[in-house]
Amino acid sequence: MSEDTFFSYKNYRWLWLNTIAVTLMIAIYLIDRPLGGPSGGTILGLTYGVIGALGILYLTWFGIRKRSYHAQQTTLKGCLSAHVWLGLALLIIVPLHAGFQFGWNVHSLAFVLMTLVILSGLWGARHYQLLAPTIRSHRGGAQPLKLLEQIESIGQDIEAKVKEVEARGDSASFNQLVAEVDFDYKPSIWKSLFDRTPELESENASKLLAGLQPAQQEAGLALISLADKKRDVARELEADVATLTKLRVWLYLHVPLTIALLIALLIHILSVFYYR
Amino acid sequence: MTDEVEVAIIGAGPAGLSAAASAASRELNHILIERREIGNTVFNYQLRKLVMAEPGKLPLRSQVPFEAGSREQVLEAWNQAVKEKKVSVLKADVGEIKKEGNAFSIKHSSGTLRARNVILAIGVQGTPRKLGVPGEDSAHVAYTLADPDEFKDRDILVVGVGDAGIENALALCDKNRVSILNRTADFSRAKEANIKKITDAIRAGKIRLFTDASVARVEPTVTYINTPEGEVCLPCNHIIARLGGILPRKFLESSGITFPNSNPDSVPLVSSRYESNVPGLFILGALIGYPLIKQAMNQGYEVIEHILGNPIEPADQVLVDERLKGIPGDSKAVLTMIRQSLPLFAELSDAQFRELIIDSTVHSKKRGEIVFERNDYTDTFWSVVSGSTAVALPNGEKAIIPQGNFFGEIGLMSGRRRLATVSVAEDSILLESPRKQILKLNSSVDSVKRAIDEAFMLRALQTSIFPEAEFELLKQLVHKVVPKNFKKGDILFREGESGEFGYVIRKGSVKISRRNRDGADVTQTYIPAGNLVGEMALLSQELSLRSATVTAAVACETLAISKADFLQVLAETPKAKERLGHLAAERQIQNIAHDQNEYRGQVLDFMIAQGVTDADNFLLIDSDLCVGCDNCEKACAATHNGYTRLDRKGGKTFACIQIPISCRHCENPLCMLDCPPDALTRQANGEVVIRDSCIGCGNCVRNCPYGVIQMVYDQPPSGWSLWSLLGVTPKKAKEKGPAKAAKCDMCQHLDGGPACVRSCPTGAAMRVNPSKMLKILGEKREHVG
Amino acid sequence: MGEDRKHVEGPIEQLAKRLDVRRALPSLAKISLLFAGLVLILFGFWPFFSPKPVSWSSGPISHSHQMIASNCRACHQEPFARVQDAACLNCHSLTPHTKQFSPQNIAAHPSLQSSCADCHFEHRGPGGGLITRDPSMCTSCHANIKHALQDVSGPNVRSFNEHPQFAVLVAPANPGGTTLKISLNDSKNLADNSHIKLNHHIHLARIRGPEGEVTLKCTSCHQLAADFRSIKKIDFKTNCQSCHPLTYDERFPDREVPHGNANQVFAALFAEYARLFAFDRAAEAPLDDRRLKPGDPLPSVSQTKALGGFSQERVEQAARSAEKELYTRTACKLCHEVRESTVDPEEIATKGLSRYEVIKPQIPEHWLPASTFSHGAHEPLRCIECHAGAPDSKKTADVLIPKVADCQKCHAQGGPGPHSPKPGAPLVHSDCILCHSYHEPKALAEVQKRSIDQVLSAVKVN
Repeated sequence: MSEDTFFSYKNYRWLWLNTIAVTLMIAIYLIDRPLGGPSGGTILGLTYGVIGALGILYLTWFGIRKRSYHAQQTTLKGCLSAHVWLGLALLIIVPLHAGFQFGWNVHSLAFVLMTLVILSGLWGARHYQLLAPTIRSHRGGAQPLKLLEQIESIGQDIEAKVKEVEARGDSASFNQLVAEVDFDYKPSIWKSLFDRTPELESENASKLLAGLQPAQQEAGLALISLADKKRDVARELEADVATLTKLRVWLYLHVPLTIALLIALLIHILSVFYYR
Repeated sequence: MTDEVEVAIIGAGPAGLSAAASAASRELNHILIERREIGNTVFNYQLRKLVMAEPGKLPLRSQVPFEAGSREQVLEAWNQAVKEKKVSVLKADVGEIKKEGNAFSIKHSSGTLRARNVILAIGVQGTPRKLGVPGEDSAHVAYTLADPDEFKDRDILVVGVGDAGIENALALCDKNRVSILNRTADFSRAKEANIKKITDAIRAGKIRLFTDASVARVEPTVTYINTPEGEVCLPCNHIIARLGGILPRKFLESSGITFPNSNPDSVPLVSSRYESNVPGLFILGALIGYPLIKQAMNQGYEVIEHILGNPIEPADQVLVDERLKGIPGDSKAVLTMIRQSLPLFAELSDAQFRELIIDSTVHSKKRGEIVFERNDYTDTFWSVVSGSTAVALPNGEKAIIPQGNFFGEIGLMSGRRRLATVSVAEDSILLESPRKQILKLNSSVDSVKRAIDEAFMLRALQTSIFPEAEFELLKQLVHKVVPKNFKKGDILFREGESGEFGYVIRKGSVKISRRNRDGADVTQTYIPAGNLVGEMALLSQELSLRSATVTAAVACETLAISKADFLQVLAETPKAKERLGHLAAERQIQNIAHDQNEYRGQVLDFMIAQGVTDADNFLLIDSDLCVGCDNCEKACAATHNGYTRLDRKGGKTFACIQIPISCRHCENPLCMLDCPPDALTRQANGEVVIRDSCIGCGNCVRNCPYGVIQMVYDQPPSGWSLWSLLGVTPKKAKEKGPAKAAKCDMCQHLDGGPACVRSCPTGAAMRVNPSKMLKILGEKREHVG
Repeated sequence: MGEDRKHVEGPIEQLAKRLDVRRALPSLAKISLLFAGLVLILFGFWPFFSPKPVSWSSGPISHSHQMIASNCRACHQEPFARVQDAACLNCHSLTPHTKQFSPQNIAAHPSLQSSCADCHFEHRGPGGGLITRDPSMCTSCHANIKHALQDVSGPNVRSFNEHPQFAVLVAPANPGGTTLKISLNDSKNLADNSHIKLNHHIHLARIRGPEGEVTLKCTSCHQLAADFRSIKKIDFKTNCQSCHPLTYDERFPDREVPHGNANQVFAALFAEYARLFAFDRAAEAPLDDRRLKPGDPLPSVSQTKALGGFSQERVEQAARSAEKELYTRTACKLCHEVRESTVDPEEIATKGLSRYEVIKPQIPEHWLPASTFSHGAHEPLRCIECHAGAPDSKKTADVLIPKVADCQKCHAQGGPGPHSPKPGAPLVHSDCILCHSYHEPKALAEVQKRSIDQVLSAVKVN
């Protein structure tokens, strides 16, 4: 497709700009020989620190920009592109700022938090690309609510079948078949992600079907077809829920960690200047 | 008792009451005869019904006070006026009015009365219109509703969506299962406030609405109705038919009053002072086509002044003066001049013409000025009062529209953009009338409809098929063409049939499809209103077969031209024949090129079904990119008073392209069809927007086939805060005032363009035109293939 | 047709909501607040209450400062201000670089305003930072010394690779003059004016010793001092006397005059000869008995006279003769520059002073006083590797200090030096403070010295 993604926005404009900037910064860092070795306290370290802090503020501002629906000058896609690439650049800029000094302190905590924020963002951005084309409800498929209603309605059909057979007398072996093929569907995100509803095991089912009285054969077949459909719908629902969850859950790390990062950054700056 | 009075006023409705009060205060010897109650019409309203005072612009001139209020308030004011002004009232039923010499003899239930002048103001309520189907006189069919509280837990069908029908349905719907039946698609005959109420009730599910429906037959417990979906059997305990009254024509004719024609809808002709062909017999109010209370009351005042010999100006003279200010000369003379110079409006009543003038704008334009340009989205109707204008034809020539003619009717009829630029040929006075006003006249005055139809056909033929043909030739052709209407999905003609007719699409649009090798129909293209289809089979004398199937994409109005007529015009216009021959050859080549492209056909079908073939600039979402963040909806809500005008999850999907529920800004916007305050307009750049004047009637919501208009309450924008950064949204404000119609306005208030697209983080949302969509889908397919 | 989008929430709708992760999880705001609160409490507030605000520390404290590691205020006395010199000077006292760092100079040259923390970096872990070896500490001024201090005449030095030729401190040619600093390149003026005569060539060849011929080595005379850095001072008794005894009379081959004071030499001679003449049997008596022991009262002339058989003139004559022999021929003149005493002869005669003077030798203890050179560190090397001229040096005036190029054979800053024997061979990395110290050493004033208890209480966490 001719339209570019937020990664490749305007021929990777932001990737190039950030690459140039970071390369320049690495070069200066390598040339610079400050007294006592590179650290956040040297002039260059301080400069990079300011750049890094401004970078973090800019990245955080995306949260506001996302909601600045009246913005006229830029598109959100462009801003996201800048957001992604600047985030990656910060992974290099900040260690340059610190002169690669790390320790068990609030300063390195800020870096660790920033790294986690960026990595979670990267995870999310990548999944935005990978998973978007697989969302079924976006491609004419039914919304989760509709699928749930379908499952519910199939469940009612199965119930009706069971009652129908029960009304006609002996239903023990039929109920066995019901127990084998039917299942209680409990919608859960966790199960959608890690423990999908299995497909119908036809071997057991056909054995049980064969054991049915001839009069119940037809009902049994109908039951299996209903149960199979129920499983299919459940699996479709689970696939979509899993996709949508993956597309959204990373934000639950990304945003809170960003806020934590901002606090850590503030403490870092304060403490560094408090104990100069 | 055979007293002779100066004025006998028959009917104590608003007109009669006003006339009687005027007469009383002028100490004119008078009598007011009423068979039931003072203000009987209002008296018969439901308890506590709100009485409107329309038209709002019109000043009230009457000795009787009247302003909008409850039934009780109005009646009390009137009864008090009757007492205060010492109106003499006679409660009697009038049987016969006879002119005897220079006075009238009035026979009534308690005797005879003589009067020098008679004012007839009996209205039409006494003679209701009936259903006109088998069973119309069954016991459970009623034509009035006295007390809605008598009904409980019943199935009731209300027929008619005039004010009375709507009010009855509303009063009944709380305790009963009520359906309401509308013969047309809109509520245009009712007052705005009532339209809003019934719309709300329908949306709330309290009343079931059948549109374009009519009663087929009435049976004791069920009623069969015709709907566009077919005949429906409706359980029904009661039918309340509120189809309006019909004129008591026999009674009027027995008094010597003549009618202009035999049409049951026609009203007696009266002078500007409401005097009928019988001197001294005046007719007021609904009998002469003025259904509104205020108009009738003003007439009552005016007629008494006239009888007293006082010159009296109509109440709306101020408004007319205001409109005609720009034209030099006495405004009355100007009005007469305008009226005389426009034959189109010759058959309008005085009042109708005055209303038209009040709503129109009079322009005085210099030679060379542009009136409107080709492809403008304006939709007003222009009449040439003096001077002349010129239409630029497609072949570069100019057709003169002389004085007395009109233009702009194609936009009026098809709802499409202006087809040609019109400029002023010599200094002119032009009358620009709003589309709504002309549409109203178009549906109420036959001569207007006929004239406009003819002009439309003529121009459509001229601009779309035969620009080269002689005007006179076309005029003859116009009388030969047959209007043919098609419902959505109807087939105009099939591939392989022999061609007998060509069709000018007057309104709506059609799709062209051809069979592929497997015999399945594949959509080739799409043709909007204003074009000619089926002409290829008409080009030669010998039998020729249709090369494609043409289906109505939406409801279409067409003009069918027979092959013989067509060929006759061609024979006399070699230029046109040559050009059409070229065109046909070109089509044939195109047909071969598109022949096997099934995918393109599917895309076109999808686009036609979604109504985007018409659209200039519509929203689509690339599902390959959409992550479902709903930022587009949030952006829309944030930039439009807190309520999103697009539904991302809704709408249909083709391949990976989803067209969400969002305004397509159709070329022929059905939403604009029936907007009482004319709040829906098309902007100069094509966007259809809803102005603040929306009254919340909900007509557009129902008219839009794509469900893109909603009734919403404004939510004050909340701006961003630190909390919004974390996704915390402030609580929604309470809903205040009436809900108003809302839909996409293309973010006209934002320089950067639509917020939905600008706010899409992945670039999935985009605004495209049909060709761009075809291109995108084509690329996608290549990519996949 | 436009559907109304408001739904009554049925149970399935609630289930559907449960499948939306945005509804299943607590709101972003809550999680964010939790995270932010944790960071704020643990890293924002807790450090104010914890005894050891480790989380704010930018790195571990050096070993040397461990005793104040948990007392931030020991150094960080004021918030939002740099660590002041006063904090350091609480315990330490070192004079700054040179006299150029006078208050006037500092005022005139803002570039000189350096504080302790400019060079001594703390929070760099146990190993590093406190003493930085970074040459830029020096070269920031010395690379363009004129820029830093206009009135300083000196070469610009950017690294050891372009270190200027060493300049040695030598005594003035004429006694009483000022010490001279002469570059080793300045061959015209370069001379060791130590007023001693030493021929390294002879000494390093086969030479007669007290017990026969020997071959001396450098270390025979130049021995490493206990500090393992410097060379012990040359001392007559230790280094010379065994070969150069101060005997004066063949009759008493084991008798020597004392080294050092000319007047004492004469007095010793006089006493010896007086005793000889006073006691005839002197020759017969064991030598030990006749030897004057330190502290013995010298026999006065009158005493000698009283003993009879000799006269003052005779004794004096003999002593003066021996003195002359010692100074001008046999002993002193060999190494020292000797001249006749400028004291009035009358006074010499009456007071019994020496007629000769030895010009006091001025053997430099530090040839290159601005540097600290460790002979111990160069122990594997043969002496002549650096002091190559020694075996051939016949004159005292020869300065045998190695030139900078000799050092640069092995030492370089950064890459290979200009004189490295093998181009590209790895060289000893040599930054400025390998040889030079920034501070001028100075003993801490007594008033500033404190007891251990005082120090411990000063650094105690309060």
